[in-house]
Amino acid sequence: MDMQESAEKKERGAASGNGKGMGGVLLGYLKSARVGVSIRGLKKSFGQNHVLRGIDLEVSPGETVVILGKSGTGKSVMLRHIIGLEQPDSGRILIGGEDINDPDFRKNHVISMVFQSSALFNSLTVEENVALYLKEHKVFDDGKIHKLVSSALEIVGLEGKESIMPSMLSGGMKRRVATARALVMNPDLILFDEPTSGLDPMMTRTVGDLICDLKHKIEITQIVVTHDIDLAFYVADRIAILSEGRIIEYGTPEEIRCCKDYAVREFITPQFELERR
Amino acid sequence: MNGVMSFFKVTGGLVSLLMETLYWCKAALGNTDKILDQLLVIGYQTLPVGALIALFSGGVLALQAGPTLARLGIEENVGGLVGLSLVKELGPVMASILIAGRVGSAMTAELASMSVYEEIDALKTMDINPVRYLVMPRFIATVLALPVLVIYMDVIGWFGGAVVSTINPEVHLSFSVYYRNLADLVDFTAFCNGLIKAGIFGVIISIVCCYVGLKTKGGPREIGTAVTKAVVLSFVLVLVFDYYVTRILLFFGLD
Repeated sequence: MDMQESAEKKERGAASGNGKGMGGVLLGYLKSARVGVSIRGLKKSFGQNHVLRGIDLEVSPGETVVILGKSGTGKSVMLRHIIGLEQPDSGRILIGGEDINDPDFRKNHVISMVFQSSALFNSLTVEENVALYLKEHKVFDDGKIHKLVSSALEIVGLEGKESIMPSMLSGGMKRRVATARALVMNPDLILFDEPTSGLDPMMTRTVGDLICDLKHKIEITQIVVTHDIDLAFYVADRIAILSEGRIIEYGTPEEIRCCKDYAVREFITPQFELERR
Repeated sequence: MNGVMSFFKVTGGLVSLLMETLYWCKAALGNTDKILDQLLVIGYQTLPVGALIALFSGGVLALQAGPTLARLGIEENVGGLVGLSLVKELGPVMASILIAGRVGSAMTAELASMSVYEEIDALKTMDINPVRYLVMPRFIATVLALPVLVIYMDVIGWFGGAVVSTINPEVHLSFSVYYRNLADLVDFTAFCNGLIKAGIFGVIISIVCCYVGLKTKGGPREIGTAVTKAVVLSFVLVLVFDYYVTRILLFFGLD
């Protein structure tokens, strides 16, 4: 039992960058631009399916906001709008005060996203996956890219796994490689889409620690979409509850816990507790 | 009505992807490693099978035509018949079908899988254009590889015809007579004719297979459907364009 606990601590410590070196090269490189996000009147329908029915949300610079909601409430669609993979029917998204559809937006801001499926390229090694953005945009020479990639992998607790193919990694490790890939982009904003879905409780905690570390060490703005209530309360500065395409409650974890709204209570209270009452 | 709309949508999508790919060919020099990778994949997947197909196709042409020509007393023309058939028509079409079946299907499966598992989206979020990164290297590699594969298959097909013409007692032609007749009838224009067709078929196969792959949505089942769709569409378009390209080449006196 003791050995198991020790292994868990070691794993979590590595993942949260508490190991030797602490990914210092990458931490020195990350600029922490601390941009805010402003979503105004966002609406989106797919045919007759009205997924987003007018979303208004303000995220302060350096804040970690969790979008919480049941499956199929439009959380991922909202995230895809923020990163520009979907175009809204109406409404605007401003990041750092700039509309994401402005032609110069991509020149001034970098947004990265950790996908639910991790979206690693199976034909590339872990190192090539993490280095892809830097290599394609010729940001640095190969030597510096290698150092940054190693540093990013150290931060996510995967040092020494550079030459492994994604197919040989577990779901949690893939998620951490995807996070390393997102970090080396030196983003102003990181989006996480269901970062703990399909992971065991220990790995869920590891991912949660990683998000907290990014918040405290780099003070990067993060938006996390999840239906994992424990993770939400663990990492969030503020929580938005999304239901049927609208944000029905937005506040700090304490405010959400104390909220009397039935829909919110129904969602954040464990089912067995509701039944007991 | 839906069928008509779908036809125009697919045609528009194919032309649009072709234009974007041609635009991104300007980045070819900076992506030579990816193009070489694709050329290696194409070579590895097609050369052994191509040799086998060409050898037996040349052989069967000689087997079918040889005895008939021998009965007419013009069996020395087997070389020219096999040579011209392969160079102008069979070589480009067989190579295209081979490329579509082995390489095109793999292209569609890979890109469809990337679409389904959000890898294309990941590329977009990294501000990496999927057409530049994924389609352009495959396009250039296919357009370069197909004419080379046609030459390779032509030469092996000629040899297959020569072997059958020699060992078939009804024809019994020597290698020298076979190849002399072939050299007399297969001129440079005929050779170029086949290579032009191969280049055009390379454009069709790469664009169709990449387009279908990139447009795939859903799950693993849709990946299989996409592969079938891409290969069938490639076959149909290759055969349809074969007719029109031949007509155009005839019009310009190149056939």
